[in-house]
Amino acid sequence: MSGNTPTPSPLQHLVNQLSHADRAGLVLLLIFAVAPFVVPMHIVSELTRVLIYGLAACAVGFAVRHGGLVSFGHAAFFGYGAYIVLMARQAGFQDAMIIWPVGLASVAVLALFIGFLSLKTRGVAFIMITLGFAQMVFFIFSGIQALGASDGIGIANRDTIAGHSINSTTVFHYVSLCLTALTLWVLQKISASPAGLVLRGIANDEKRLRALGFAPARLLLNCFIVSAMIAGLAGMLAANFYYFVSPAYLHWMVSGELLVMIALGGIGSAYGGLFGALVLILAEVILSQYSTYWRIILGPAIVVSVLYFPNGLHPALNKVLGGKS
Amino acid sequence: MFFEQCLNALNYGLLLFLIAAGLSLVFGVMHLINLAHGSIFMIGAFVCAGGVHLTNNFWLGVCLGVVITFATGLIIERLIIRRLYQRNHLDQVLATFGLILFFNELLRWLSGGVPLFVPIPQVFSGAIEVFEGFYYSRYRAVVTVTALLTAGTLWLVLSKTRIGMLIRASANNPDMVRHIGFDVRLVGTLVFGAGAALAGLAGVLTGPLVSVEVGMGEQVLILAFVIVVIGGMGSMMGTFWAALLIGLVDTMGRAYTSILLGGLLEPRTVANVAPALSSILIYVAMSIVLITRPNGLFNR
Repeated sequence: MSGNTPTPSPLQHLVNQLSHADRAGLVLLLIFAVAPFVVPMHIVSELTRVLIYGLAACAVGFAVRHGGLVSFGHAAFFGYGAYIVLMARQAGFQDAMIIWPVGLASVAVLALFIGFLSLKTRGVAFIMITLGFAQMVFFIFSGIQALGASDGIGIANRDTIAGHSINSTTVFHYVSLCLTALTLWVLQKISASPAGLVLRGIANDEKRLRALGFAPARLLLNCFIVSAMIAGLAGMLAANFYYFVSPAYLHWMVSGELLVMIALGGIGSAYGGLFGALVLILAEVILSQYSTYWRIILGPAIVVSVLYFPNGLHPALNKVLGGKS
Repeated sequence: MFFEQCLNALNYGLLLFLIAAGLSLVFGVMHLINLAHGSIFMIGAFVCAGGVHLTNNFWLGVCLGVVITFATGLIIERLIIRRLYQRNHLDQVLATFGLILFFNELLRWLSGGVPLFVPIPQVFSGAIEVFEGFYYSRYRAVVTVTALLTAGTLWLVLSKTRIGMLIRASANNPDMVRHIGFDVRLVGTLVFGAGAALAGLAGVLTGPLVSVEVGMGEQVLILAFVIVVIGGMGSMMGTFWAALLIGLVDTMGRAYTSILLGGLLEPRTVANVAPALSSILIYVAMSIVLITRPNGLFNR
């Protein structure tokens, strides 16, 4: 930079940043923020569901984008997060200030174990081995009688946050929104950091990065753990949202749906998972009003979107709104 | 008892091979991950069940099942799958996941969500005496023999005929095959159709052994993928042995974990833990294979 370039004022700086920012993503977060004032409560509830699954999908998307780790086993972390809420309740804890941090730490330990072993493979083998570990977790929890075995157990109340109840639909919606926004912000900071750039490089060409003197193994493991912890956080929210925990959260179809969400929304962007979740859940809400067999429309719709929007819906939307594509 | 379990393991392993063979062929030749393969298996079972109920003729049901799955394979390959070969694995997973949703819902709608049962045909009902004092289900024996014959034919076609040579060449170097004047796309279509027909045959044969219901495809899909990965993606020999291995691990796991655990734990705990443990065995086997040999047991 030459010395005589005028320094932009803070306001100008902000405007500059916003014009380069992910406009469609910001608009989406804004819609989530005003929704409780505008739409009826049952729609708000659906939007909370979008946030929760979107958060989990963003976690998977992060692992795919940074490091090329196509995990088919994130249901393990999502479901484990949900079970943490149940186990904490059975141990007598109800406050999120204790449960969530401790829970995230234990998700990290699980992810360390699974990630360490899975990262000995790449490509299709990685997809399958993550699936395999997720299936193990699924069958283990299906066999524990104290945790409801394959039927699951309901929980009477949501966790409290520092003693405050979050049972109300609106409050829980804002809690989910804040956590999602915070997580996305952290993920973007990681993306922009040197480590994030190296990870992006690894996703592109691991051999080249190794030749440049980076050690991919450790970075990839860290990336996997961060991604798993976010999926675990989403799982904890899900248990609170549904007041119910069962092995269904751990089912491999959940992993599949998360992948569908990021691919639908756009693999290249941080908000992709959120968009995918929105589209998928909106489709469910709208189509299921017309027919019990609404998936007969959804299936071909997904196929068409893959064939004709190979980069996902989010980039297409961003182009319309004039942000970066 | 033990001998019977061995036969059951062989039976199950061979059925799994029929399903995994198509998956392995398609992966080997076109590098495609096809999640909809389980749906084809389900379609085979449903068409056979429907055919048997409508016409009361088991053989017609069998033929219908195989022919319709073959046709379904050709159609979805021409319309959808063909455009996915050049895409990344994630797009393939997504599109074929869409197909799963479609086929599941279609069959749920057509069948009304009720499980169907296919009666074992009169000729094959009852048991045969394998040796003095040992009886085995006649139908299971027929299934085992049919599956063995199919596997043998597949091996003969792939390794001894010109078509097989063409398929192997297409897997190895499709550009070269195209340049010497063969239609690689047609090979792809036919391989996909043949794989679908094999899965359909497995579905047809499985029909009388289980209840035919929506969702049966996903269970075998995961197992078939485990087999293909253990065997070394695309290696037919590897797929065959891996299928037998998984059939053995699964059958023996189901039969003996509860007995083995019975000595250690009280019966009520065993009743809960044993099924979970035996289901885990397969995935433990896969993880061990992949960690020690990431390219599978039989990869070149």
